[in-house]
Amino acid sequence: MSLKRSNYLHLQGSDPIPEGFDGFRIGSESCSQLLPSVEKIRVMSENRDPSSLSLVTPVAGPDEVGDVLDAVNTAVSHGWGEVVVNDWGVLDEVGVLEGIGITAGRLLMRFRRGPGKFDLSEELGDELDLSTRRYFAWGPLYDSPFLAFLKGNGIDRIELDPPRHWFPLPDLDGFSFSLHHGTRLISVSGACPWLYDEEKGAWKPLVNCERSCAGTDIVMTNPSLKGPLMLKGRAILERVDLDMIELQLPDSVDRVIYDRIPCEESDKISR
Amino acid sequence: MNSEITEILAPVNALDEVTPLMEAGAHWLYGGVLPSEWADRFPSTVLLNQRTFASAQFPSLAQLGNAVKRAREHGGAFALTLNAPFYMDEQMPLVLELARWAVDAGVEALIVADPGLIVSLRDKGVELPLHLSTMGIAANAHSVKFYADQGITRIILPRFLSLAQIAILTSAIPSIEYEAFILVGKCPHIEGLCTFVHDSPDRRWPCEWEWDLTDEAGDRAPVNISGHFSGIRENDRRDGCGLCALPALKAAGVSIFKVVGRGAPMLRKLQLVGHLNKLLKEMPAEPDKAWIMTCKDSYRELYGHLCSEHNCYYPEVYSGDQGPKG
Repeated sequence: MSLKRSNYLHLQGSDPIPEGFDGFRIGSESCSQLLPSVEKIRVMSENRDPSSLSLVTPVAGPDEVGDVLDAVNTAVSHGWGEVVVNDWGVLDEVGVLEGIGITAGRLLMRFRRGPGKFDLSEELGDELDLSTRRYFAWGPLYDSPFLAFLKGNGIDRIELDPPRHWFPLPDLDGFSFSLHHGTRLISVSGACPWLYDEEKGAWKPLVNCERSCAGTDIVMTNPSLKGPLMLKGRAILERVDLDMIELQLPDSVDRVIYDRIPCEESDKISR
Repeated sequence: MNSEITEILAPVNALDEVTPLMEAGAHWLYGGVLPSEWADRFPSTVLLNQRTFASAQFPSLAQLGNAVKRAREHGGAFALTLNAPFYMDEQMPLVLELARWAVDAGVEALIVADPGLIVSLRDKGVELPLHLSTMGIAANAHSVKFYADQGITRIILPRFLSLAQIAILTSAIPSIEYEAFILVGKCPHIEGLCTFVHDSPDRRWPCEWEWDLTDEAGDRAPVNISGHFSGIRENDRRDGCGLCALPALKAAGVSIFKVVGRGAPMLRKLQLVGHLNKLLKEMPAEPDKAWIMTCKDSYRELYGHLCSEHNCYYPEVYSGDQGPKG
């Protein structure tokens, strides 16, 4: 019997919600300003099957964590299917909740994705020894005490960030996996680039955020790199085009995350 | 642990640096080593600690052991860096062996980030105080409590937190030690979330490269975005500074002040520690214009140019009305 992988779309800003996906994600892994309001969570719950909805939560500063937890509690009380956690403090509060799936986001997992100038160049991919290939592909998944720690804190699903050099996933019991299809996460800026005031040579405070990043991705190129990076909000990402069939993913990878709507319906993966 | 104590933590990578650094005012020293069992097996970008170049490490366990001993003889303390974000199962025995060696050598604390290592140290009975590296990201009171429950005794505050955020965090859980960055190494990214690999021989990491920036249609990026990145490139991250904020940090309960720079020349480290020590002795309870000007003079002396918000760890003080910029 073939596995039907579910396809989740990460909704951007106020995009209309398209049909054809099994689930939708809202929020941000890297910016607290993109957290949906409690009201928006309520409205979404009325318009969709709440069990198909995922709330993605960011690393939160001390003055932001309360809003994150309010959003989580609202999502839980409305029957949402998943909370994606990227902050240990949020996990400490959320990991004990029942009736909702708790997922370790890719920021919590801290896969090593680069790029750097040499060691991760495409040419070196086949020359890296087995240990190093494991390390740069799925290093944290070979950290058994860490995985046990996640399990003990209520995590039952892990987000996977596509590695630069593909390597088969290790066999792991007890977790389901979601694979980011379209991007790997490279870094997150400390100060928000969108709040930089060129005239003053300084960043405006976060409270001045008007979500000017919404809908605009910045392409970052440098001759040392083969391909461009992309600035999305405060996150620096790299676009990835995965051939899902070729990857021969185990059945435990039962969910695929799209950061944007695929061009063709056939781009979505069912197997 | 809000206290009157203020201590300097300084980087060290050679035995002959220990005495001069402690005489210059450092109480804590931190450093790392790559034992041959590790260095022979993994490339430098596979992390035992957060440095990818050999000159930042002690050259041998024997020399590190002597450095720890010498620091103790001076009444100081040594923290060993084991702060990679994760260790694979095949690496963990080497890491635990190094931790056990540290206990025997008289190391006072381990700087850690991997929850898997934290749990393993506890399970294997390695009893040393644990300091949470910025790689572990304790950015709010809930995460501080979370880590404290795991046995962490000191939090190294993430660089991206503002003074106001630090004050909220430390006042929520005052029972733990807090350490803050003060000089050098103003990383533009959230360190614990950054995966750029630091492997360029010239030690110019990707975060400070020159980027061509466009929108997806190929048009020039907005001016604020290009300003952000060109500012990072033009204002050397090595020139990071938070001197003006010392009184505010102390008032917030931060007791340990960190100088970055493993692998830097000893004279440079001494200069940085000496300035910081002098300013800690002179600092007023409340920052005033005279204090800000003193710090800005110190900055010019240390770095040879005016300070900039790009290099400022705590821009609230920098851009406030307590003194002119630069």
